[in-house]
Amino acid sequence: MSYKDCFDKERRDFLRIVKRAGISAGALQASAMIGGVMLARVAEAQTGPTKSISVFMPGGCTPSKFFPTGSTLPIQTQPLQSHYNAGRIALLRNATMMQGGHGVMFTRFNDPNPWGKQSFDVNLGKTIGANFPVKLLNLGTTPVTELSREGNAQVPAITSPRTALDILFSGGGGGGGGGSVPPRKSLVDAHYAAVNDLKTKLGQHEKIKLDSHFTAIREIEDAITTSNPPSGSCSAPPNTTVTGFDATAKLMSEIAVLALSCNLTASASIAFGTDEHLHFLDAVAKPRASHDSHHNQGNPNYAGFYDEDVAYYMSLTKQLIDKLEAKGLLSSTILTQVSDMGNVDAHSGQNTPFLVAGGGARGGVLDVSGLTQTALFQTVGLQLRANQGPNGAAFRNWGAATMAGLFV
Amino acid sequence: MKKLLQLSLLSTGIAFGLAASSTALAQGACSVNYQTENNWGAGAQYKVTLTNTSAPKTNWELCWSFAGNETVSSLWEGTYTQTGKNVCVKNVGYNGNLPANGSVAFGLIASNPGTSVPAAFTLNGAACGGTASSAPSSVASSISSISSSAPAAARWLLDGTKSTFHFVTLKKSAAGVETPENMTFSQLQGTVAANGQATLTIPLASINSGVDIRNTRMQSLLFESGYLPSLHFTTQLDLTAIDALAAGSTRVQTVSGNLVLHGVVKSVVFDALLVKHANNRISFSPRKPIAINSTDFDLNAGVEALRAIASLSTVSEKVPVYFKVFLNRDNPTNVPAISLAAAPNAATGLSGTVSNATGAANLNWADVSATETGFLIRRKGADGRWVTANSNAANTVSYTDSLTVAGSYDYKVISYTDSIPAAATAPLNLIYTGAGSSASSVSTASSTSVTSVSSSSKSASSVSSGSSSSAGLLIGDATRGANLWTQNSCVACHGVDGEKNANGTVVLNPLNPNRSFYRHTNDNRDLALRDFIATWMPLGNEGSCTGQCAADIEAHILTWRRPSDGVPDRPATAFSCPSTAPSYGQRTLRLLTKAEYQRSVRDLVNYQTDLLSSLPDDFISGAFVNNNTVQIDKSRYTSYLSNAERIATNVATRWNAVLGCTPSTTNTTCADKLVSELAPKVFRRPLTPSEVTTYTGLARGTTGSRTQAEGMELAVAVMLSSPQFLYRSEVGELSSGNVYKLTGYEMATYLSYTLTGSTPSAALLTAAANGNLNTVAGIRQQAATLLNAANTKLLLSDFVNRWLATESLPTQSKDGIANFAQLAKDMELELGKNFSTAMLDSSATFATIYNPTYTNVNQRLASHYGLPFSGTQDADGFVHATTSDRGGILVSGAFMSRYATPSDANLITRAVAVRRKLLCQDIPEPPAGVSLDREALAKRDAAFFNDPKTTQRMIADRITAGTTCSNCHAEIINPLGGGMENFDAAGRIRSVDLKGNPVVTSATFFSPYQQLQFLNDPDRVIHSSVITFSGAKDLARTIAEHPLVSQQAQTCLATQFVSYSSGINSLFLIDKDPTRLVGSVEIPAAEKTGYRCEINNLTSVLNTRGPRAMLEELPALNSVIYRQEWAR
Repeated sequence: MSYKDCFDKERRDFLRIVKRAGISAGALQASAMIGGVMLARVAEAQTGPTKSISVFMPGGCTPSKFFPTGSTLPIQTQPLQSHYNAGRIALLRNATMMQGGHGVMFTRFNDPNPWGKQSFDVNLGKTIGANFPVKLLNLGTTPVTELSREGNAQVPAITSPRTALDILFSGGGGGGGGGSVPPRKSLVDAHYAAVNDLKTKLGQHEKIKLDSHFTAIREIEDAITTSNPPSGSCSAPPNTTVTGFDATAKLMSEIAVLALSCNLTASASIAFGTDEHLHFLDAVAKPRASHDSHHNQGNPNYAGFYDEDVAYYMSLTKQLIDKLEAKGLLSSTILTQVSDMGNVDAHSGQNTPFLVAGGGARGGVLDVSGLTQTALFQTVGLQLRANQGPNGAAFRNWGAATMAGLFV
Repeated sequence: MKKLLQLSLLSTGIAFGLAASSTALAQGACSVNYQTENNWGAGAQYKVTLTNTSAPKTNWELCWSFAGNETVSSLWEGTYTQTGKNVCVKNVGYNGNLPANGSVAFGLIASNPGTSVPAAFTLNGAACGGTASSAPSSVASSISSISSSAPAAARWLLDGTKSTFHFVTLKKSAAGVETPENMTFSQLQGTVAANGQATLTIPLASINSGVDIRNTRMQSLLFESGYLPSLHFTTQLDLTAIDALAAGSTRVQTVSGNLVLHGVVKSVVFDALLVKHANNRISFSPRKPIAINSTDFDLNAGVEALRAIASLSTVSEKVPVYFKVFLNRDNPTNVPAISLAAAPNAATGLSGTVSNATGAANLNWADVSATETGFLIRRKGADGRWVTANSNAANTVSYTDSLTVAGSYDYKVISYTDSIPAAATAPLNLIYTGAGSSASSVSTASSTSVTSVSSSSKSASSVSSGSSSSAGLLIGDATRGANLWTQNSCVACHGVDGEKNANGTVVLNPLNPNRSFYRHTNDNRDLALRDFIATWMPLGNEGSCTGQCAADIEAHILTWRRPSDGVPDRPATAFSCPSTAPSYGQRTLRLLTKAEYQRSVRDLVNYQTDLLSSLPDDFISGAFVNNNTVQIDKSRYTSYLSNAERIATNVATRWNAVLGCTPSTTNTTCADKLVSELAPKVFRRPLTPSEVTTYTGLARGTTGSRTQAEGMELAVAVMLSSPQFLYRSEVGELSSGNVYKLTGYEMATYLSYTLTGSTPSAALLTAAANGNLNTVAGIRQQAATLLNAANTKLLLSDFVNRWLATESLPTQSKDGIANFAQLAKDMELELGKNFSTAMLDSSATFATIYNPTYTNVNQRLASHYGLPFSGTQDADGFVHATTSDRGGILVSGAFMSRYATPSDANLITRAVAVRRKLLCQDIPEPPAGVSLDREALAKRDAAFFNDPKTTQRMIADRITAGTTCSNCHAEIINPLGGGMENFDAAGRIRSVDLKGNPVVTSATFFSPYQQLQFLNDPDRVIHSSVITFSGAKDLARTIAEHPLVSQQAQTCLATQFVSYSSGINSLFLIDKDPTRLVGSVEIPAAEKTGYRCEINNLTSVLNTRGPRAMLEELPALNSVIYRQEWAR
């Protein structure tokens, strides 16, 4: 079965199950929840991984302290030891982040020439996540606007847990209620008219902006229903008020895993900090701005701080994998982690620490001989059967190279 | 030399023998990995890793003996002593602790690397196992048989690293210019035996005259070190008396000894100053220079040869000698006392004849010695100077000299062993009458010509011209410099090009050929490169390459500089607007930012609940946020809907407060009021008829068959998530051609959000309705009014904290300050109040922003800064405090704390922030691919970093010394940040740093231009009168007052306001570093030019009429009023 056929079958399966459930396709409830429940039934019938979580960790690594030579992980990856022992993670040695390195680090989830293209997480949201209630859940701990990209527009990461949960669980309960039609139906009708009116006044650039807005309205309209969201294991976490980097990172991980496990999205991404490294690490022994550690390895007051920083980011990866594992998602979800830099001492994109877990990834260290993020994206995309359609090249430029041996 | 080697082997063997015999229980005390890191023939770099395989140690000393003739020239991570072939390395302060099985590594550079590395080591006197066990057993056994005759271990050892030995020569040029020159030896060896026998040995090949070629000449022409390699001085010291001396005391004593030099032994007597520095450390130095006459040592012919070869008028034949030798009574490895060879028996029975036909002088003598190394045949002609006609091998008894000039000649023969001579034979006189004369005839002809000198003269004549002037006029020769680069081990630390080793790895100590001056970390002087080399290079052998040598190496280094083409890479002129054509802004729809949304619903429906944590994130464009380019997708739309629905639900609980009416089941008054009164405020314009119809239907409940209460609530939700509300429209109406002019309502929206951060007031909408915003004058008038709004102060506070990135300060922590987050918020308020006051006070000037005489503090800040807290408090509890030390946006607690680490100031980030943020100079990011093993470098420099006298400025200079780093750091960054070191990590004034060193605040401000002038540009523009400042406050004054710097800063302030108000990343509004990529699409060049013209206009207003006038002018700019569709 070709990818295209596979993709279409998935779509047909979904619609069939929706129909059997007695819910008309046009009246799916506004909450992402119902759609998520329906998708779960499709997912049970699939084989192979179907979901993706893309992870950004800033600051590169010291390759000799990141990649093991034996079975014991060195200092920077030490937190991942248990998962490494269990063969759950692949550490990609000798990988390259094209257009990575100091000062040009906005690619990360992107092609080296990202203009007009989709970032990896956005693309997967539009392919494997096309039928999911939330196409893309791009989360972050710190405001960052250059990570996820749709064409020439960047999609700012969601840094507020409350905002993320609104997107996942909001069912349109407010806004008046009552009446013969759902309130949001009336709402989107009004907005349709306004957007159409605006479009008549604008030039091409702003029209593109409004096209997106228009599509968003239509998607909401498609999801309108009067049903109440179900409860149960897929309810929102009770505490969304957190402060500090560490607490935010862990809550965002929880939300991402929740969204994946509840079939609310097939493409989540999470950024632990930013490429500017101005986020303040509050869970390390001596709280500090991440940037300070990087630029002060030569300063005796900062001895060991960089190692600690990388190990800390890996501890965030570890808890994310823990959560995926606890929810039984590691077979269906591929975690793809990239960084903005390679060898931190070189300030370049060489030897960038890439990491893949789940979805059939082969555990261990894989030397990828200098292959870049585009090969990584292509390899993961194929494993996910992310059908790009006939015009896929217009939306991403991952090339044909793949990382042999990454998956079992 | 053969016997020298034997002696060395003897010594080495003794060391082994002693170790083996006394440390049987310590067998295997350590293992050593002696690894060759680099070998360039003349020298090599090694890494030695010592692993302690015995009991833990708190101090360590590793010793070994070289098999070859290696000489350690530098060593790091340890301190070393070398006596002959014996080397001992001790720990430095921070790496003495060596646990069992613990390891420590140190590095060293040695000249004359042998073919094998040392194999036997001792750790604290105990023999090591591991590699040490591979010491050849044959050596030990061969020594054992002679160990009984070995000299005893030295009691005192000369400290070769601290001891100095100089003599001064005076030369007169052909033009009569006299130049004194300092000569020295780079290698000194010495021991004092237990019986007080003291011996100083100087390898004459280590002569350092400051000129490389002269060193060679002095070795060959003067000292003849090829066969007389050493100078020795021996004397007898009273060790009992020395031991009895109290540490810290001095005494003068007469020293009488023998000087062995150039085949001559002569008694020397002088008064010496003995200083007892510590119980185990003394020094000797002559009270006055010791005069050495070259004639006494048969050296005067060599002096003459040197004079002739350099075409000098005269060279002094008597020289004053100065020295200071340090001796340590510390010999843990039992280095034996130097034992000089015994002089051989003197030759006897010298006789000879001369052939007047051929000039052959046939000499014969008797060899009565069994130990001589050779025989010196010396000849004295009519000039009265003894020259060495030949050095014969051992066991020879004849020599034939070739005379070419008729005259009377004396001959003598000296037998010698090593450098130790026997007494010379009595002179034999021969008369050469010239060709055709009979034997023993006498001639009166004279000549100073000596064959060996002539040939040397010939070989050296080609380079003599450059070495005849004083040091300042020396012309460096890059070709010679390239050779010297290798010979002097420069390559060991600085690689093949100052940055990389031959194998491509990064060098130990990068150097930048582009600097105008060089400053050593242990120096406070800026030196020219050649003077730097002469003073500080090479490491461990400083002063061994001066004069011509330094000039040549300088010339070699300067070849790495890019040649000047006379044109700076980057211009030093400010942008100038190319024409008076109007500038057009971008037609756009701008999504409200979170803060704008929050303030708007607060002002519209008094909704006070926090929305910043539930609205989707904003786009960050440079320093500021705006959603110019953000698209609404389903997720974002969902978020807006959810928030709007929550607000509507809240509003539905208090209709009376919002609208002055409540929903009714009997009439539509309230629903209609919602549409007629609230909706236009939400949309910031009158509704269109179709919108009235739509919202009336919604509010009355007729749409969707709801109650009026349900309908009104829904209508509010629809409005607050509607495109009309979410987008700030800057679309305009077609004015002419493709130019659009903002409508009055759009202008009201622009004015209100730009100057107050919220939705327009009723008055502003009325002004729009009345057409008052269709003219520049009307816009200025409304702007002036809006600047009085309370919101404006808050907005400006937000502005400055985003601009300077101090808004993240509360996430930081500072050592020793409890709850810094609270103090950080106070600092943000302080900064905001100072800035908004300066911006809004109509009497303020640009200088008020940077260099006022006041600040605003609350009680906590006053206490923190040490300022008095008195006067009238504002609503936030702040008072106006007069101060000459702080105030202004630079010298603020917020700025200084933000650009600092938790424990200390950070001069690099401070400087970069000043450049990038305050001056809009785009310092590029550190270049990718600069591979620095930072940890290794840190380890190498640990002693330097840990030195109590090492300041942060010194550390910054050290770690950024390489070319690629220092192109930016040397001038643009480090001095600027260094001058702000008088503010600590938490923004307090300090006079000493964390180590207690006085903070040096004087600094130079380089590159006061929009286009930074990088060090690697040989044609860079350096401001002609150097701009200096001292301390952060003085820098602020400089920014406010210096014409160029101030112009840059004023333009930057205007740039920030244009960036903020237009949503264009400020990087697109300046001369951006061409290598920098930005994640968002660049704006068209014409659009950029237009904005920059506007910035110039604003700067002019700022400069002439002050900050407030500039703010009033901002919405009246042509690019605000008139728009076109620019490509994106």
